[in-house]
Amino acid sequence: MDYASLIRCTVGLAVSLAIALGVGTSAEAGAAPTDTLLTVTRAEVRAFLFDERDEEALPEDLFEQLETWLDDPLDLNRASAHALAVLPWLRPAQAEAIVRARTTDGPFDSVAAAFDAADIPPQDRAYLRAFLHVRPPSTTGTPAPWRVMLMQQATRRLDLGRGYDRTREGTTYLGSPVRMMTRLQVGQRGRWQGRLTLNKHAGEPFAWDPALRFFGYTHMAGHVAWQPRHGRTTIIAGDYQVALGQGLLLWRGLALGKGTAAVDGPARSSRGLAPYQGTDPNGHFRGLAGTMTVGPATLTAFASHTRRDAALDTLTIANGEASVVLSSLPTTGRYRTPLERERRASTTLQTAGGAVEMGRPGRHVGLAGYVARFGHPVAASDALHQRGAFSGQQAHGLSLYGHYSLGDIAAGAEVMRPHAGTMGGAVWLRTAVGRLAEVLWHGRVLPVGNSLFGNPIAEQSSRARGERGFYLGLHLRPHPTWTLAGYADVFTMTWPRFRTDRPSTGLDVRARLTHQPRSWLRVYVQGRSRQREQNGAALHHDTRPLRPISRHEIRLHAQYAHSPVLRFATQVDQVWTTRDGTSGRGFLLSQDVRWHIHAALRLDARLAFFDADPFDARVYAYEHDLRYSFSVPAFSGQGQRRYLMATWAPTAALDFQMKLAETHMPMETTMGSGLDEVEGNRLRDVRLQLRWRPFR
Amino acid sequence: MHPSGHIALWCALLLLLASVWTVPRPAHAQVSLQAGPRLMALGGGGTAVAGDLWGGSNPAAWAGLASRQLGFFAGQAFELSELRLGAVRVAQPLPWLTAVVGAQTFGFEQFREHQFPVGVAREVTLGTTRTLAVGAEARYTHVSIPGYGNDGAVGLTLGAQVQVLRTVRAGVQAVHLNAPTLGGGDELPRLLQVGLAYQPQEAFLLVLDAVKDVLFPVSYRGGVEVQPVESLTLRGGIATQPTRFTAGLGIHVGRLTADVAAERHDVLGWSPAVGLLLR
Repeated sequence: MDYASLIRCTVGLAVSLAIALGVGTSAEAGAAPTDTLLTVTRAEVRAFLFDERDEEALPEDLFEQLETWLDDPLDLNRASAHALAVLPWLRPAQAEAIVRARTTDGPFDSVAAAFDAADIPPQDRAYLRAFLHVRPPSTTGTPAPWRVMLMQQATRRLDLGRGYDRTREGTTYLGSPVRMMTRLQVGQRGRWQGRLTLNKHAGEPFAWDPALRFFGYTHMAGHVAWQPRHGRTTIIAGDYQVALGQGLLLWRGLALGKGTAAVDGPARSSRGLAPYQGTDPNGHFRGLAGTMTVGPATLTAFASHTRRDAALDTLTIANGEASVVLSSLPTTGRYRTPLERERRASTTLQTAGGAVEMGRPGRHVGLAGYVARFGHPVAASDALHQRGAFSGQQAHGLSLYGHYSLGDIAAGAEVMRPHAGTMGGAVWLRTAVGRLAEVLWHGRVLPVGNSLFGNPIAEQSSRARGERGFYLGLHLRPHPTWTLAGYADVFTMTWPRFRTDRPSTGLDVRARLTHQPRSWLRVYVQGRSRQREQNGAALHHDTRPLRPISRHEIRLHAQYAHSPVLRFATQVDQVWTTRDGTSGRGFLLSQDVRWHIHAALRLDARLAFFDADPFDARVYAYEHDLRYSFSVPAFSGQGQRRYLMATWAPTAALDFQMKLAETHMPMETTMGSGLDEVEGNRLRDVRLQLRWRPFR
Repeated sequence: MHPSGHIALWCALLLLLASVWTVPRPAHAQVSLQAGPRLMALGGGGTAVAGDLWGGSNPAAWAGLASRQLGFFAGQAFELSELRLGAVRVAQPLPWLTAVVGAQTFGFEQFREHQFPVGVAREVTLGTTRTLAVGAEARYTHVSIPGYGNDGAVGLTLGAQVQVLRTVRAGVQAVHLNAPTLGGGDELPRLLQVGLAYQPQEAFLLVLDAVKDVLFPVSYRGGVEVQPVESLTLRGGIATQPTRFTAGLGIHVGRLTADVAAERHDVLGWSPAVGLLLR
C-alpha cells in the first residue's frame, strides 16, 4: 500500500465532501439567484494578449504596462485622448470621440456611456472594461488621490538543478534558488508617480558588492515621473521607454504585434514616452526624458546613460596596440554564474534622441532620431547571418512617420534610415465596414542594418532585419454572438538568418472563430499554420539546401461561468510539426477552475496532461500566475502539469497570493537541462507574494 | 482451442502482463468495460452523461440518480475467459447527496484485480439558477499475481457535470488524481477526461469525449443512442487509440433494464458485456 497516495486520497475526499456538503450549501444561500454575464476578467485579458507568444522574447515590457493599467484604470472623465489611444482595443479616433463627447456633453456617468459615444463594438467593450473606469463627476475638482503600494514576491523551485550542488566540481550558481522581487510605488493619481523595482533572479547572489555593482538585489529599475493625464506633457527622471511611429526606429515597451488582435496589433500609433519599472535590465533607457506640447507641435527629447551587459574581447591591431571590443551583447539579464557576472554592466551606452510631432492623436506626422555611443566598439561578426549588423562605436538613425484616420479609414506609415544607410519602411491601412468587418493591410521592408532600438512588426519582432512582408488582417462580426479574427502574413527574408544560410520565404496564418451563445458560455476554435525555411542536412561539398519547416496548431477552448463564484475553462491543443522530413505531434488537454470561495478568497486550479514529441512539437499554455508575473510554459514529452493558486485579500489594502505548481513526467529520469537539470521526474515550485496598498 | 485463439490469448496475456507489471495498466483500460454496459456501447465515453449508475467512472453522473439503483455487470475482454470482469454497484439517494458503493473483480487465477469503489455526488448551484453536479470517488484497487505478490492502493477520482445549454451537457473528470502507486512505485492509470453530451430530444443522445491517460496518446470517443420505442434503446460508438467500434442495446421492462454491449478491436477481436439494472 502506498501511504502517500492514501493520505492524498483521504485529504482529497475530505475536501470533496466539504465542497459537496458544506461550502456548496453556504454559497447557495448567500449568492445572487440569477444568471450573470461572463465578464472578461483580468486573467483573460492577460491570456488574450500573451497567448501564442512563443518563440518571441518574453514580453515583459508588455506585461508591465498591462499590469499598470489593470491596477490603475484610466478615468474616462479625465484621461487625455493620447492616454486613451495607447490602450489595446481602443483606436485613436475612438479616443478622440470619447474626449469630444465629454467636452460637449459633460462627464460620463458610466463606462458604457463613453463606449456608446465612441461606438465601440460589444466584443471590444468586454476587454476594454478592465482598463477603464469612471470617477463620479462630483470628484472632478477634488485633490488627486494618493497611491502607495509595497509588494514583496518570493519564488523558489523545490527540485533544484545541479547548478545548486555546491559539492559538485565545475560551474555552479553563485546564489540561492530563491527569486526575490520588491516593488515600491508612491504618487498621486493622474499627476506624478515614483516607482522602484528591485529584483534578484534564482541563482543570483544577494550580496553587497559595490565594486561589482551588486547592491543586494541584482537589478534595480525605477523612476519619478510627472505625467498629468489631461495633456501629453510628461517629464521622467530615471528609467523610461520610448515608442514612436511604427517601431522601425524607436520602440521599447508595449508592442502587441501579430496575434489574436489581428487588426489592432500591427496598426500602431506612437505611444511616446512611458515610465519603466520592469525587470528587464536591457529593455529601457535611463536618464531624463520629457514631452511637451507647443501649439500644434509635440516635442519629445531624451538623454540616457545605461550600463549594458557585454562580452569583451581584447584584439591586437596592426600596430601592435591592444583594443577592447564588444564581441556580443547578452540580453538574458541573468547573473547566476561567474561568466554571467563578469559580463554584467561591463560597458556603457549613451543615447540622446527626440521627436517632433505635428497634429493630434489620429492625425499627425513626426520626425524622430537618435544618436547612440557604446563604451567600447562593437566588433563585426564573421557569422554569415550577422553580417550587416551594427558594428563600430557610434550609431544613429532618423525616421519620418505619420498617422491619419478619417471615419472608418485609418492609415499609418514610417520611413527609417538607420546607421548602415539602407532605408526601411512600413505602411498600413485599416478600413471598416460598419460593425460587420474590419480589414488591415500592412506592408514592410526592413533593412539588413536595423535600428538599435527598433521593434517593428515582422515575422519575429525580436529578429527583425533583412525582411519584406505583407500582412492581411481581418476581424469579422457576422452576428452578435459570432466573431472571426485572423491574419495571413507572407514574408521573404532577404538576408541569411541563424541556421538559414540564404534568403528564404515563409507564411504565417492564424484564424480564431469565437462563439458566445449565452452570457455564461464562450467557445473558440483557433487554427494557426506557420511555414518557413531552414538549413537542411548537409549534402556533398557541405552545401545545405533550404528545407521547409512547418508547424500547424489547432485549439478548442471553452469557458463556462457557472455563477459569479465559479468558472470553468477547458482547452484542447493539438500540434503537428515537420522539420527536414521528420514529423512530430503535440497534444495538451487542460481543465481550469476558478472558485471564489469567499469574498476575500479565490482559488485557481489547473490540471493538464500533455504529450509532445519531438521538442519542435511542444505546446505552449498560458497559466495564471502572481500579479506582475506571467507564465507561458512550453510542454514537451509526456506528463502532467497541475497548479493551485490562492488569492486572499483580508482587507481592501492587503492581498496575499500563493501558487504551488508541479510538472510530473513519469517516464523521465531527469528534467530540465544544463545547470537546471534535476534528477527525478518532478519539477515543483512555490510562489508567494504580498501586496499592501494603504492608498489606492 | 483453435490455434488462432491461442495466439490471441497469449497476445492478450503478454499485453496484460507487460502493461500491468512494467507500468500497471489493467487490461480493461484498453477496452471500454470500465465504462459500464451503456457507455461501453457509446464508444467508452460519456463523461457528460448524467444519471448513469456506472457513470463511465465520472462520479458526478450519480448526482442525477432519482431513486435507489442496483446494478450488475459482466464482461469479457477479447472473448478470453482469463480477461473477465464482474461488478456490482448500488446507489442510494440521500437528502443531501447520493452515495454509491460497489465491488469489481477482473482477471483469472494468475492475475486478479479487485476494486472497491465508494463515492458521493450531489448537485450544487453556487450562486445561480443552474445546477452543477459534482462527485468524488475513492476506489481501493488490489492486484494479486501469484509468484510476484500482491498490493493495493486507494485512488481518488473527482468529476463535475453541468448543463451548459438546454441541449448540451459538459463533463470533466480526473481519475486517480492522487497518483496512487502499487508495488515498485508503479502508478495506477491517471486520466483526464472531458466530454460533451448533446440531447436535442429525449430519444436521441450524442456523446463526444477526449480521454488522456498520462502515459498514452489521447483517445477520442464518440457514440449515438436512440430510443425508437419506449422499451428499446439502440447504441453505437467509435473510439481511437486503439481504434474500436462498439454497439449495444438496452431493453426496459418496468423497473428493470437489461443492457448488452460489445466492442470490436481490429486485432484482438470482440469484447462482449451484459448488464442488469434494477430501480
